[in-house]
Amino acid sequence: MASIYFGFRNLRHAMATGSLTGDPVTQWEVRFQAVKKLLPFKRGVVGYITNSDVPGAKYDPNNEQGEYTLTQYTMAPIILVRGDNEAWTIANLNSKAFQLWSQTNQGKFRVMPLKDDLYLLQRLTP
Amino acid sequence: MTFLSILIFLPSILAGILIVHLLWRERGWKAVWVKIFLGIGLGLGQASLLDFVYMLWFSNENGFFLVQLALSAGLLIAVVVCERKDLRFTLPRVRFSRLQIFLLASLLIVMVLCALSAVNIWAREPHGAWDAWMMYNRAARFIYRDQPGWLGSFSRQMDPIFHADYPLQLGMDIAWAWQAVGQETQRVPIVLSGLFMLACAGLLGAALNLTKSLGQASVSLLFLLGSSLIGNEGASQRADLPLAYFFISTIVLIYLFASLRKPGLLILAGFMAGLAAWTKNEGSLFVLVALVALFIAFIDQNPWRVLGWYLLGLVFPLIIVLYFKEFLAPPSDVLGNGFTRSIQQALDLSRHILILKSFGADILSFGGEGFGIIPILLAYALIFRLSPSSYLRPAYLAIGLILILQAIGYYGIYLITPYDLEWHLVFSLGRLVFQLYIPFLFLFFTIVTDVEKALAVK
Repeated sequence: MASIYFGFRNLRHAMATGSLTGDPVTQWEVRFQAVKKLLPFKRGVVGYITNSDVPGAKYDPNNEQGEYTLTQYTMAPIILVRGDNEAWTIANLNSKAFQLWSQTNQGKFRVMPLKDDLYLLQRLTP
Repeated sequence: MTFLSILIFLPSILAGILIVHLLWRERGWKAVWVKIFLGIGLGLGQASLLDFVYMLWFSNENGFFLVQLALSAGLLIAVVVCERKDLRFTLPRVRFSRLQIFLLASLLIVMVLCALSAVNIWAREPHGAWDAWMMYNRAARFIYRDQPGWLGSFSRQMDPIFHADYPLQLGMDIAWAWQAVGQETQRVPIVLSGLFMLACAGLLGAALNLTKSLGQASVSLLFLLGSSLIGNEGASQRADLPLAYFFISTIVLIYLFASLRKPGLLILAGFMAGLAAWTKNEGSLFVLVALVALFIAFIDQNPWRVLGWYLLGLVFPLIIVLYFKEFLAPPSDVLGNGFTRSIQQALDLSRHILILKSFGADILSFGGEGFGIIPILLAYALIFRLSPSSYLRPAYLAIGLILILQAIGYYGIYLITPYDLEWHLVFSLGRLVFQLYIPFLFLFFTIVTDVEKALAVK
C-alpha cells in the first residue's frame, strides 16, 4: 500500500515538472535557428558574450551559465568559447547592454542584428 | 518514430542476449529472463563500444547499423549450431500462491504508476534533465552532426563545464541510432533511457526470482518502483541509471558465479564492469573496487583464476576506455586540484564532518521526504529476519565490499574535489546514493528470508 501511495505521489511530482507545451530547451533552439543559418561554417570555434561581459550592463548571474550551456547544446558541433576574441561571436545582449557594448567596439565588428536580443558579430580587426 | 527508435536497438539487444547465452548455457525460463535483462544492457554496451571503434576508422560512413545486424545474425547462427541437439521450447507451468498473486497485482499497479511518471517527464522534458542534455545528448550531437570531425567533441577549447572527458556509452548509442534512423529525434535518447529502466528493474526482479523466489522478487520491485526513484531518475536521461544498471549486472553475475561456479559468468561480470567505466567516471572506480573485492572474497578459492576470468571480460571495454582517456578526452576536472592542495583538503577535519553529515542525512532520507527507504528496509529485515546461506558467503562478502569500497571512493572524491564542497554534495550526492541503492536492494533481498517462507512460518 505504501508503494502505491508513493507511486501516486511521484506521479503527481512528475506532472508538476516543466510544462507540456513550453520546453525551454526547444524554445532556445528555435531562438538560435537564425544564428545557425547566418554562420558561414558548420564546425569550428565561435565566441559568446552576454550582458555580464559588458561593463555597466545589468545581468542575472543565475541565468548566465544556464544560457551559455543551452547555447552550446543548441549550436553543436560549433564550440562556444566565452569572449569576443574569435572571428565570429554570438552576442546574447539586451538592447541596453548592446548600446553600451557598441560604444566601446565601434568599427571592430560587423554587426548582424537578429530577433530576440541576439546579434552575430564578425570581427573586422585582428 | 518511437517504434522505429525501439526497432533500431533490437539487433544490438539480440546480440547481447546471445552473447550472455553463449557464455552461460543455463536453461529454464527463470534463467532466460535474467539473460534477457542482462542482454539488453550488454547489447547496448557492445554497440556503443563497437561504434566508437567504427567511428575511429569509418567516420564518413553510415553503416554501423549493418554491423549490428551482421553481428546479431552471426551470433544467432552460432547459438543455433551450438544448440542444435537441444533446441526445444517448453512453456513454463506456473502456479501462483495467493500471496504471490497479491504481490504481483500490487506490483502491476506500481509499475503502471512508475511508467506514467516516466512518460510525463519525457513529454515535459524531451531533452532530459540539465546534465543529460548538457553532457550526454550534447556529446551525441557533436558526433552525429559532424561525423567526419567528430573528434572535435573532445577539443581542449571546450569549456570544462561540459565534461567532454565523460565516457561515451550514451553518446555513441544515441549518435549511431540517429544515423540509423536518419534524423536527430529526441525519441532515441528517450527510448534508450526507457530500455535501461526496463533492464535495471527487470534484472533485479529476474535475478531474485532465479536465486530466491517470485515473492521476494516482487517485494524488491515494490521497493524499487514504489519509490519511483527509477521512474524519475531514469526518465531524466542522465547516466546514473545506466551506471546503476551496470553495477547491479556485475553484482548479480558475481553472485551467480559464487552459486553456480561457471567461469562465463565472471567473464560477463568483467565486461559489465568495463561498461560501467564506459558509462561514467565513477565506473572506473567500480572496476578497481570489484577487482579488490573479488580477490578478498575468493581468497581461499583460487583467487588468481577468479581475477583472470574477470579480467578476460574486462579487457575489451577497458582498452576502449583507456584509449579514450589517454588519447582523446581532455583532463578530468575533479582531479584538477593538484597533489598538494588535495592533501591539504584531505587533512581538513571540517570537510570530513560535512561529508559524513551529508552521507548520513542522504542515506537516511533517500527515496522519501524526511523519512527514507533505508529505515523501512531495516524494519523489514527485523520483521522478516535474515537467512543468509553459508555457501554464498564469498558472494555476500564480494558484493558488500564492492558497495562499501565504492562509497569510500565517493567519499575520497568529495575530499579532494576542486569545487565548493557544499555545492558539490548538494548537486551530486543523491545520485551517487542512487547508483548504489539498486545493487544494495539486490544484496538485501538475497539475505532476507523469502517473503513466502517468512509468512508461511508466521
